[in-house]
Amino acid sequence: MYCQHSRRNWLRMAGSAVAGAYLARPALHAAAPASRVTVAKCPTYDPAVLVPTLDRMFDQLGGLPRIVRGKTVAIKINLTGATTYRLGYLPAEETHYTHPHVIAATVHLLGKAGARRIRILESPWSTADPIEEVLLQSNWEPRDILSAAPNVEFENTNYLGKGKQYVRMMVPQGGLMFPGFELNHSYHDCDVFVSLAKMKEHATAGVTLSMKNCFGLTPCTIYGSGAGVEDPSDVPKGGRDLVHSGHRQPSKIAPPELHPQSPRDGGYRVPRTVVDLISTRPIHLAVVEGIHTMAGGEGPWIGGGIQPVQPGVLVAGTNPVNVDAVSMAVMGFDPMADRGTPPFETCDSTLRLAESVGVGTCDLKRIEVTGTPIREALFSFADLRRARHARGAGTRVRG
Amino acid sequence: MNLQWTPMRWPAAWKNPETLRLLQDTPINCLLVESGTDLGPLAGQAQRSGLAIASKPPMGVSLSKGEWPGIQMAARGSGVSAGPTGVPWLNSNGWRVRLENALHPDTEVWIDAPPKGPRLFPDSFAMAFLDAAAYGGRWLISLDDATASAIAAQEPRALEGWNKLIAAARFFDAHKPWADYSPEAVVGVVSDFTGDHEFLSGETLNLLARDNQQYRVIVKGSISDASWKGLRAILYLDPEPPLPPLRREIEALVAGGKLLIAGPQWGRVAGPLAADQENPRYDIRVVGKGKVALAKAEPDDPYTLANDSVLLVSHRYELLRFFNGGAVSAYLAAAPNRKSALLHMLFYSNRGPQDASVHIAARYRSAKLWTADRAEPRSLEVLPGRDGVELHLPAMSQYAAAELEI
Repeated sequence: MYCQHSRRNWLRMAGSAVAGAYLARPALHAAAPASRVTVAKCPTYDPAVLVPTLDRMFDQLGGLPRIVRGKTVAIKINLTGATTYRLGYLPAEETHYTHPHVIAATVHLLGKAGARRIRILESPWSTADPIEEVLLQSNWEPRDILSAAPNVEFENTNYLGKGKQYVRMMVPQGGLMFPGFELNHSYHDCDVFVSLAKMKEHATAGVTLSMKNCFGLTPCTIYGSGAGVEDPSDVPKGGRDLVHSGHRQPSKIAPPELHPQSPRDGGYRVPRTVVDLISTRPIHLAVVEGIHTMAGGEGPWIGGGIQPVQPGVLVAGTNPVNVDAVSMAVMGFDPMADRGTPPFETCDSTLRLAESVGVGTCDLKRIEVTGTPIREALFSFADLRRARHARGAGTRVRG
Repeated sequence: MNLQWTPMRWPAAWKNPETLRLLQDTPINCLLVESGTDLGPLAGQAQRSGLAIASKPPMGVSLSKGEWPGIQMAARGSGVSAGPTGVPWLNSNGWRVRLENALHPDTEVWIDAPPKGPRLFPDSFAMAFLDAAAYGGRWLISLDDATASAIAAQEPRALEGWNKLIAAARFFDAHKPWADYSPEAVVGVVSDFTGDHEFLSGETLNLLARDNQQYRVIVKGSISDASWKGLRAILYLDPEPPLPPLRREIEALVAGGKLLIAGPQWGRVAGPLAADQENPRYDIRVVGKGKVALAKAEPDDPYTLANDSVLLVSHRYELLRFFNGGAVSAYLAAAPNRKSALLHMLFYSNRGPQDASVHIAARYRSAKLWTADRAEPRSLEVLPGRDGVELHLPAMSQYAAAELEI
């Protein structure tokens, strides 16, 4: 049962009204860019299949060299939640982490295409430990990734990291939730930014794809539960509850949110924050990995009928909104859906908000899809969602 | 070691001699009473039942003050306290048992940890016993007045908790040789563990356990070749540098490939800075095939020290890695013949973990799973994993031991 509380109804209406106001900006909406998106079936993480599949996909986008040759490339991967969580006995990469073979294959192809330096970034759960140590705790071998190309390094962006100071990056169009962010230097010190995401539903944001993956850009030392009030904390503690719920502002070093009177609802706040982040730190290459993943939420902690699934699909493109729109269609959802419609029953659509500010279109009619047609790649998360809801095991909603 | 005793502090609420029936056919064989307590007819009846009655532990027993084990409940409300990493804070006496065993190898270790906390659950008493027994010690069974009265009154929930406690005691009574197993470890913690060093060294052991780092207690003056066996690293804790023979021994181990972590008191270390490793609080130098990580300032915070040591050693070398284990603490120990090992696992949350698994960085061939509620073990599939094996654990609660064959 959804939206049964009057407060939630109010929030939904308020959210729709605000979203509607943005959507009513015809110039940006109509001008939202459309670019080619490639889809490929890939049933396995076997590098012998995976590497040529990704290589072909990148070729279909015009080739990686034109994007990365001689450039410093930053890749945001998805390692959501603590390394100790598993869905059943399955390793995290089979369900909710970007698979290490996909990371290594992408790194390899970026290196082959002439990337000068490749920095793999993530803000892992509640730790300032090096990413290599986090990977080891996940039973991964970091050397497999570090050796996939020359000049590869990891950086934990959940705190100051290797930088001397945080970098303030402003939202060009002013922002929906925040006017700008204080981020780890790696998001500034790169020429090309890649979002290497997992194809999943999300309890708060409906789906998590190449855009929502970037929610983790925010360092928890400033935007997390344990963030300092005045200055950032030294090390991150806990999650990003303050962004989800808005119960407090980030550390004062960072710009506060724009509309303190806006709904204190994760379904309103998280999609807007994500759009602000991907406007601040534009994504040049978006890759959504849905070879093996999970349905029903973004991680094992969600509960309520989540299950491992094997869509066997990869989606890539140079515009994250376009890529996420095609990914949603592959998942059996309507990319044009908005609040009240699956998978956005209790939240605003990150895609529609991103479209409203001109990042990209989510209108499939305007997006050229190459490779495997969507209907052939279709793996219906939407059907599974309906079945879960019919059983009364709906995706848990945060915020 | 021949564990002789299963002790219990006689509850003041048990005044009726009939309550002695509760101890019939249980491993409990020693009743501790307050000095000067007149047990009346209870005393004679207890002695006729073969129970020893004493006001202090018998010879050969070391009584150590402990904490009521379990997830630390918040002072207010129903929440749980969190450690600095946000994970629930666990109190366990495992490190005390191991430290006492190392300091006094020929004595039995009793842990004196009376029930404490805003809420006591009937199952908590079994947990208190298991928490000491898994490490080779014995909890001095202590009941709060309300629980003791409820048990004496045969209240079903209280009796259920009592029966679980007795089952745990029976289980370890049937497996006394397990206490002779020796710890498999990644890091050896060197100290005299006394005097001014007692707090830092003890608390570091406690926090290493919380970090799931398998350690060995190495007491200065009781060091043998076996002390260093299988270690990746040596954590030298005392503010005074070691005497020359120990220093030379440790330096040789470093030259052979081990990592030494020590405070600035260790003195100057010759060798280039390690290019592949950085830590804001340590200078790390390459010495021979090994490394020395020297703290820039005297470590005084055991939490930071324990966490730093785990990172300096690297998770690459950790022996155990749990998934979905919840509030778990574990202890891997090898049989005296080293052909088998035991992985003791303690699950402190009220509900046991679901779909828990553990990666063990060793190549064991077979495994069986013991739980305190069964006399016989279950077979457990050993799955190959990266650099080791993985066990998928069935649903269970509180305690299990995986017996692993090489």
